[in-house]
Amino acid sequence: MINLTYTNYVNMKIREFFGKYEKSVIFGQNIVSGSRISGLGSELEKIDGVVTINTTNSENSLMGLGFGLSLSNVPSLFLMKQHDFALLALDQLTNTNNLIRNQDLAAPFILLFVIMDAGYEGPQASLNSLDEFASLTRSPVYYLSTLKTIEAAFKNASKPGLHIMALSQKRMKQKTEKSNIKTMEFSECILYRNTSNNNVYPVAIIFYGSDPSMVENMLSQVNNEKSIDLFLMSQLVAIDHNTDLFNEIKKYDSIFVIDTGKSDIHFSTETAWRLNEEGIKVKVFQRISNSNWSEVSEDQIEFTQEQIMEQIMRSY
Amino acid sequence: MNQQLAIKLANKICELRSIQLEINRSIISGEFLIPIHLAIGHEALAVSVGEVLESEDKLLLTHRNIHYQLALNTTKDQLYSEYTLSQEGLAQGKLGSMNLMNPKKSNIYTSNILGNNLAVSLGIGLASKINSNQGVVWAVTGDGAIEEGTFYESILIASSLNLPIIFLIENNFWSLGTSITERRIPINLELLANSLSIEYLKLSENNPLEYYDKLFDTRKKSQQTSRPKIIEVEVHSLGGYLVNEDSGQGRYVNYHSGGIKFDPDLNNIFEHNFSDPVFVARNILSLDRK
Repeated sequence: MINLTYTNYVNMKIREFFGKYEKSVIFGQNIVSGSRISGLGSELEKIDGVVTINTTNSENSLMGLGFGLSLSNVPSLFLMKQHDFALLALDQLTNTNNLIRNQDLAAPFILLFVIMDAGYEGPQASLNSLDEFASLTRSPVYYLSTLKTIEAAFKNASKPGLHIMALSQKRMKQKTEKSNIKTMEFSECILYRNTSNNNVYPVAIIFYGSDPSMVENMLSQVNNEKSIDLFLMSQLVAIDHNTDLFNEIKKYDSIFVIDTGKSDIHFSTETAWRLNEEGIKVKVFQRISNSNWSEVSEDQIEFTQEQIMEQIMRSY
Repeated sequence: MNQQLAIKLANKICELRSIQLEINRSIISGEFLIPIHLAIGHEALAVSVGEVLESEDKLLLTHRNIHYQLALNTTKDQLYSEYTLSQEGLAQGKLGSMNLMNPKKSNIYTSNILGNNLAVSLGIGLASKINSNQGVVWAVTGDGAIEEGTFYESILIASSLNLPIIFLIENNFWSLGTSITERRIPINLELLANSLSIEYLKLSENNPLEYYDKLFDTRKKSQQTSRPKIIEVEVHSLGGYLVNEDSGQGRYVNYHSGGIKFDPDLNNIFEHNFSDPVFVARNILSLDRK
């Protein structure tokens, strides 16, 4: 386990997930030849009962193909190299999904794509706008960001209908590490509880994004006296009032919401607003659209680890 | 046998026209809140498809689906109730007209987005193949939708994956208020189909028995070879009307949706030639009486 990269781990979960069905389909461009999407497609054709298809470059119609399979009770996975390719399929993702979500669907249809966040891809291949997809599809969008969130995503994806999974390009080559931190699982989030005293709730970060490396770095540098707990969103939703998760978050003295998505609308804003309505002060860090986004450039997040830490330390 | 089938189909064509004219009266009197696209002039193809359809087949329709619903033996009352969004309707009043589907009668998907159902038909065709089902998929579309990119994508994928799908293109030469000649160059569908190794067939003049025979043969070939087919069918959507242009000239506009006002000068609900399925049906029935 210790040597697995995120790519290897997600690939393993795909093979586990589809191995349990008698018949299923995995399709996408170059998924069982060439680089196999940097290894995400490794050995998928060896899964019992799976039909693997190296497809044409026809995203919109292929998305319809997935919905047609779902209508016919055949589970499927559309493995997509880049998030922005899914823009070509918005008709199927919205219109077809809106129509069939109320049908008697029996099979899941998973769309798994890579968020191109490693930089230098240019303005058209650096989409990181999951909020819009979650809003348009009104279907679950999962961050494949840690072992725990990956487990949660594939656990939920057994349910019939569309599931969208997003994996960070930066994250793909990183090694997975099993965390020893105490965790608590909610349906849309994993709480990493760093605070050792069970009765103390000083600072919490709620993180929305496909690559939590920045937050992981921050937390590794915090000493035990000033612990920070992390609510890592596994699913892109605004946290509902009166849920166990909301009630857990409300216990904290200071809350920081961090969102690394490049959308102009944010479910994280709604979460912060709902906490504010309860009289809880929340500091929000979100990305700000700028001219770099329209050029070939480094994918530089507009706020820094140091800025966040400075704010957190002030709250103690 | 053929004569019996011809009479059955001819009677069904007349029944479809009659019910549509009743629905038309309700549209004109404002009984429906929803948009309805009649298919007066499209009946021959629909009744032939309804007759050829096997229980394992799947039918994917478009916003203009009333003729297929009736050909699948949906009653006038079920349609009327659906259009008034009543629980007694075919889809319990939840789908109205443009997305109306009837899964119990093979019609498992209907989309009002041009070309959208073609893509969905791919998955249904692939599932049918994987499950070794003996059925074929009928994906109905029109001459407007073949201008969408998804048409090309879908026929390419269907051919590449050897899927048993029959793409049925109702060509009425119009898209909303513009005719083909007003919006684009002609598309040689036969050439396009052949370039993708897909067999092409053209039907016209509304003979329901001829349509049945050709659809039957095409279905058999598609099912046996697991290959897609393209069938282009010339239809004349009746119900057109004249509008006064700014220039003062009258301009004929083809029917698209809503109620049809009968115009005796235009013969816009019945035509006395082979472009009207009811004319063809009446010929069959009068020959039978002789």
